Amino acid sequence: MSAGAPFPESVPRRVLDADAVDTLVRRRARSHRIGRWVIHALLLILAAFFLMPLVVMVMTSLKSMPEIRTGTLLSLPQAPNLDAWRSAWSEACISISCEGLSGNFVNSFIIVIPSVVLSVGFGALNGYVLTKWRFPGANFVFGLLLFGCFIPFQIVLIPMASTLGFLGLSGSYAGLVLVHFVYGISFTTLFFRNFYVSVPDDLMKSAKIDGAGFWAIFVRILLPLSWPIVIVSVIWQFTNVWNDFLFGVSFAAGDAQPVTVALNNLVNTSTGVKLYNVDMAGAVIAALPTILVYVVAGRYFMRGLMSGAVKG
Amino acid sequence: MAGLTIRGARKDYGRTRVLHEIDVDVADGEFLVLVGPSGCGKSTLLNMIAGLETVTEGSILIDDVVVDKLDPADRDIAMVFQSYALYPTMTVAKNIAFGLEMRGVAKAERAKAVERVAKLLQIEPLLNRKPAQLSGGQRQRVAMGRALVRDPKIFLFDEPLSNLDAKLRVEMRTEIKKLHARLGTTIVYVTHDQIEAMTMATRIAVMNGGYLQQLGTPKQIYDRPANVFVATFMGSPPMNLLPATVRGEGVEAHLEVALGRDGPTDPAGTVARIARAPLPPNVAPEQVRDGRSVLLGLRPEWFSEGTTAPPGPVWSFSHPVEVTEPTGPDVMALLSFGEAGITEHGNGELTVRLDADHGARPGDVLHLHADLAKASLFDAESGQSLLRPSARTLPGADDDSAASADAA
Amino acid sequence: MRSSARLRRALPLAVLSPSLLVIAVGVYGFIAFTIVVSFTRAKMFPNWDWVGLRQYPRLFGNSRWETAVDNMLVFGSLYILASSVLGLAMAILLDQKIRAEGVLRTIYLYPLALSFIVTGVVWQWILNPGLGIQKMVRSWGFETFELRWITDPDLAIYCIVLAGVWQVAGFSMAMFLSGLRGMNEEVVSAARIDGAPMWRIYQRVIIPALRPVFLTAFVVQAHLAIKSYDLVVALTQGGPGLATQLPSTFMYSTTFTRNDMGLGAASAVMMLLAVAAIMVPYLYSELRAERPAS
Repeated sequence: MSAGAPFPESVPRRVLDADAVDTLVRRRARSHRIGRWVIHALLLILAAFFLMPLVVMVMTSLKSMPEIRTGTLLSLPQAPNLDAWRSAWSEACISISCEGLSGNFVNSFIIVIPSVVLSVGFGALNGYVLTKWRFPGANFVFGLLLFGCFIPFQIVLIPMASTLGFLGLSGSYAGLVLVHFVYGISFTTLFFRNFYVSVPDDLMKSAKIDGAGFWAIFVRILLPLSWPIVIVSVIWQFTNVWNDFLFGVSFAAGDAQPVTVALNNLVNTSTGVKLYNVDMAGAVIAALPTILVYVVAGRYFMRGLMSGAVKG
Repeated sequence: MAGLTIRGARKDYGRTRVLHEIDVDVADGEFLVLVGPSGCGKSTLLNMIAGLETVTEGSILIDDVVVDKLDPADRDIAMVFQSYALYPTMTVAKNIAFGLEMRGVAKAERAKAVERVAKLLQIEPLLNRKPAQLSGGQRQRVAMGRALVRDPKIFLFDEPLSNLDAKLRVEMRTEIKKLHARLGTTIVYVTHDQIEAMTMATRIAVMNGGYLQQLGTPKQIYDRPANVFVATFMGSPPMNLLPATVRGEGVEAHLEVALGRDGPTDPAGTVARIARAPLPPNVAPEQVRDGRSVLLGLRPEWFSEGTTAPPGPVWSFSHPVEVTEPTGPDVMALLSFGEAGITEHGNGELTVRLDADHGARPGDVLHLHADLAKASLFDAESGQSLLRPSARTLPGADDDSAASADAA
Repeated sequence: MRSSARLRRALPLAVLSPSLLVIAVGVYGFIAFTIVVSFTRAKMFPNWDWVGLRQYPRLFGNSRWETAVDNMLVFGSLYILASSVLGLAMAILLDQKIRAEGVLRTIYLYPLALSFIVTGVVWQWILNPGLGIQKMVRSWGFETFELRWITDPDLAIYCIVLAGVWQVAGFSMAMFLSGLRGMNEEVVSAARIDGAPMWRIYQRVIIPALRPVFLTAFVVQAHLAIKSYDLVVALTQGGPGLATQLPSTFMYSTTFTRNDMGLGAASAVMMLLAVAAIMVPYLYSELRAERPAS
């Protein structure tokens, strides 16, 4: 006990000698090992949980219907073939036509690409203006723009339907592109604004002193260092627009419908015998582009998710 | 209250070795300070003592029991962190009592212990506040309270004063020293501030680049640095290092010190001005070799000025003053040696401490007498001290330091 | 000279104007429009037969809407709770210095890249009463195992919870993981020295410190839950019968299938109010906290 210490007896002491140390070390090591096993086991079970639907989806799409009826979800395909895929792509009957998902797959691209270009382009400009060309009320304007991220889209379906009808864009590609542009601009502006906020203003000042104007600064100085956020925004918009269903089913008609709407029709509104392998093949087709984007650029996908969740 | 022994401790991160062969013996009740620049390994060593880092090789013993495989919780140590590391969602009282709670101490006992500590550190009014509501100094006290309440064998401090402002830092330094005097517990304290080290330690371990540079009392470290690093790191302003060459052998040996090309008799600077200085008396005889490049170490306060030389071994020379810096208690005079003095250890300047009332002005010639009994001599290449080992202690220095280990 | 300076100052606003216009109309204008429609007797097309607030009592007395709201509460609370807990658990597990962390994170997060339609379609197959999980587990020897939730009006909602949590748990995991990683390491070290076993440290020190993350996760997931539409449509089509009807499916079918636009508009307004009730206080407190720094 330390001389003059004010706490003579409160703390229970363990007498430490070589044997006690030995026991302690061994005990701790054992519980540590058990702990690691438990952790890894749990992680594996969770991985199985998350992978299972993907595995089932792919495997089922490679089986034949008799095989599906006699086998179970996870039984391996005996003679894997792409018949179901071919059917889903070009022969499956969706509502009235029997031409598979191929047309809709292309539709999705026709809708997605202009939407992404427009919303990312304007998002970048908006972020630039809001952060580098301060004007009174810039933050308020940003808040106004941001609101579009939060609204449930059911609130705009009725007027949008009327407006598209009024503009003669009902059921067309252009109509859907416009819709996705309107509701994507809030997100892309958020991304770019948050990114540009951290670009030092001194860059701007020296450029202005050098005589650069509004567009020159944007194109020559900001854009070259914007690649990370451009990728994040593109991936975010691509994924959201490709995966959209609500706007697709509300505003696209027949031939112009995106692949998500077609998939739902294929699975849930077709009459006759349910062809599960074709259904799953259709799901694979619909999922492929966004999964590929995720696999290739997952890091940017994550960044978009996180900045979408962290406000202003 | 315990002794701490670090034997041959090494630490690797993957293939990088960050700590090399550290050997330190800390006696019961000592206040050991680990000091060095950022990245020297002092915090790593502290974490190894605490058990927060594993020991790659070597061992750590507390009270002669090998503890380096034990969890931190089992080592009976307590630690105060640089960021205080208080539990943000708990009150001050809960923060302090947490360690006791984890060891199964009853509620009533805990409350008593917390009160005693709070009184000792004068933080009673803060007991129900949360860390976010406290100032830096208050948080620091709470962190210390948390460490104190368990009455551990060894206290570890990891740069606890770095986040405080200068005035608070000086206050807390004294408080910690007083606490140590009162409790007598062994303390290992890490800092990068050499003033903290000098004022608080019973012994200092100077570290650099993962190596222990010198282990000794503050006086030993200050007066007899083991190498150039210690000489320049400890003490502010740093020790002057004058490039010189050893000439002659045996009793004839002396130093040739280049005083530059700008002597008072040679304004054009064409003639190299070499001064002849006697060899410091404490140099080990076997280290004396004709032609050896050395560095003569002289602290600013080891000079006297005037027409008469003081008794004892001195080196007298004259030189003009370039700049004077009044500090209040004294005046620092800077003398320039021109290009001849510029090495990696200095920019060709000599700093000399003069009385505040000295009245020297730039351009005046000073007649200086350097106290060679105190001077150090270092090998210019290796930076190692060339003094005799027995001279590592100074007359009147602390007694038990004669046997202190130092890695060279 | 003055006009060009004025032009220069107007340029930023000019650049913003397409977006501002589009948002002004597409967000605020349309919200106003829908609110107005909810005050009318519109059926298949918007008309302007004013009925004041009468659609709202009609809405609250509607049994389909009641079911939808009940389902929303059950689904919403389970969904938020389950994905938060699961997400936290996954984050804690992944934070234990796992070598395969990158691979595992990719696996836990990929469902977020899928459309809810794909998720719904696949889970519909997995939960197929005759050929799905039930058959598989029976084939493992558990002859009496039953899993016919999807056809059971009382249990079908849990299928939606299951599929929804599967899709979204990765997101809360990511949020908690970054919260864990952002914690001051020294606090954990202090707790270790204080003698707390790791699980205690999580319970008393780490998880309480994650409170802001819980809040954000709650808000985002509540928001997602209220907007859920695609998943229900693909998984159960709102069925069996109307058992898994949610406000979003109610709105759609009321407006476009039953041609009762006024009522549908009222339901949409209720959805907006629900979202606002969660988001507005949250944003307000966040912005207020940020103000001193900005």
